[in-house]
Amino acid sequence: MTLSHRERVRMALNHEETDRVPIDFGGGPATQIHPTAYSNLLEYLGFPEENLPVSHRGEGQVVAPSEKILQHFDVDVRGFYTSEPDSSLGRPIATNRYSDEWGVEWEKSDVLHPYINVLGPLQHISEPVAADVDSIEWPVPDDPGRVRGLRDKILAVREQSDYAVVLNLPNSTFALTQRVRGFVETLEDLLLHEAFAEAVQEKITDVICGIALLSLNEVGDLIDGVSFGDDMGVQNQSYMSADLYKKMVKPHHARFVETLHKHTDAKVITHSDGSIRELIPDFIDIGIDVINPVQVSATGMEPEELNRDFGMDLAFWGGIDTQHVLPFGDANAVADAVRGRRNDLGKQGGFIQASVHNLQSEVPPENIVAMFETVMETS
Amino acid sequence: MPVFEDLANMIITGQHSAAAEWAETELSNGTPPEDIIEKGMIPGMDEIGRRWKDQEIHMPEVLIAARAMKAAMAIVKPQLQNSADTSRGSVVIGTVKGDLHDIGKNLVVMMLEGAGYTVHDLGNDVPPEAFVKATEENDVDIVAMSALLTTTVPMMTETIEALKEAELRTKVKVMIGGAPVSDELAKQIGADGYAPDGASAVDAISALIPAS
Repeated sequence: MTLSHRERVRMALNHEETDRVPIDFGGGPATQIHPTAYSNLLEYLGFPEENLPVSHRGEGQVVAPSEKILQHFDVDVRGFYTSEPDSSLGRPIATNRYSDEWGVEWEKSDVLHPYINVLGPLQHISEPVAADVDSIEWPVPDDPGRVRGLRDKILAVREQSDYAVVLNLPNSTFALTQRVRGFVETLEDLLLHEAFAEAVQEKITDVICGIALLSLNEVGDLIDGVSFGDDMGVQNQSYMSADLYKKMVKPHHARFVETLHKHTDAKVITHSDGSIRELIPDFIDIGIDVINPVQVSATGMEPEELNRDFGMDLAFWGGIDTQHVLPFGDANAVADAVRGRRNDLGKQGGFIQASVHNLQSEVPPENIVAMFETVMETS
Repeated sequence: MPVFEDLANMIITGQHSAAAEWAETELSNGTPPEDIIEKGMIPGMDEIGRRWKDQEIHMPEVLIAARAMKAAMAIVKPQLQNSADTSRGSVVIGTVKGDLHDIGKNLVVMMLEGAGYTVHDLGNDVPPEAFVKATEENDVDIVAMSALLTTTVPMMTETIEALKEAELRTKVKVMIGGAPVSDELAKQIGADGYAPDGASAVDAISALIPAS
């Protein structure tokens, strides 16, 4: 049986077996590629150089692979994003420094390095109280600029091809709270300034639910997956215990995910880097269908065990290690990883293969090719 | 007699105002500041380090403990006759040039300060010359470098080379840390040690500094 790309993705996300493991490359903000690695890939494949715009904003200094490359590897997914709002408060501040619509300042040290959020508008307050949330200006959720042209772009893919479509929403409550308030400050607030932590998350969740509502009213009927990012782990543990998550963050995630399910039949995909095993039961509980990127090199993220313990309730998106195998292994190691994931995460469906994170500059083109070609060979 | 365990417990539970008040009261009672650090603060942070390493606690608990430790330290430090006497060693630390990530490095700084080390934190995007300068100007035991971007890892090698050129390499031990870094890489680039996370950085560094 040969499935259409869309059928393959939808079946896999419904935990049904497919003709081959579906693949993603560039369908979301964390499965893209550094411009240097991309250039090397084009050269290796004998394709002419492309002048793709390097992203000027955001965390990664990456490009989305071109349609030509996606077709070459037979990538099953196409990703779309909301746009900058017309009313954005975002503005350039200096060379390599800008503020975004949340008033968060980003900086990069070099043209090809990623932007990093360096200062939030509520970061300076040492003993914050709930009322401080009203001291800054917040983004306008239903700004029409966010979705202008989005329906036409997705409709074009729907009408002219059979690819699965994912809508990538902006980051969710906790990541945005950490940007607005500061990383360390946010983690401290959960224990020291509960009322403020509650108020700021409530406010941010209001805004992102508004953005989700606007977007899904526009394209919710056209998409197969709706994705949001909210990192909740570091290399060896989650940002917080499951108990603290349940008390302080889960209610906001639950409200957001409920909003998504209410306005689309698409699967809800969440992106969280790091070791998040201890929080996965709560993710399932609030209705998350798929987790990305399954950072298999993090503590407790062994794919076999994740699939054994959560594979009935959760699908996995990602899984090919970007900390060791893709940058530093050889093509054989990559092929082994692909076969490994097909067996441990993809046995009865429930798995979309992608790199765990954006492919960094030193990832050899041979390894990228091995990642996508092995999927085809072994099925 | 001061019950140093009380201060340790205030730090462990992240009560920064209580920890500062305790230190203030004990100083005015004539308790030597060195004792407050060695018998109250360091045991408190040692326990936090152990719990973190054993995954009993997470970053929020570690951060509020470090905040309490700092609050007490801010009271005690001005009263020290000679802070070098209580220091377990001196560390110059920074995220290497080209890399603006500093959260991991800051956690290491917190754990080192809590364990009684003197820390010269150079911040992020630190060029090799700045590591050299800080090493020259301070009586340094350890140079610790952090990187999160794979593209900035070569800057660790350059910094080690700069230390060699300044004839400082034999006088200090070099530690590296960060997501793209490993024990293997440490050996490869001629560093003396590596730690995968903030909790184990303290152990790795104390293993490198000979007990005085």
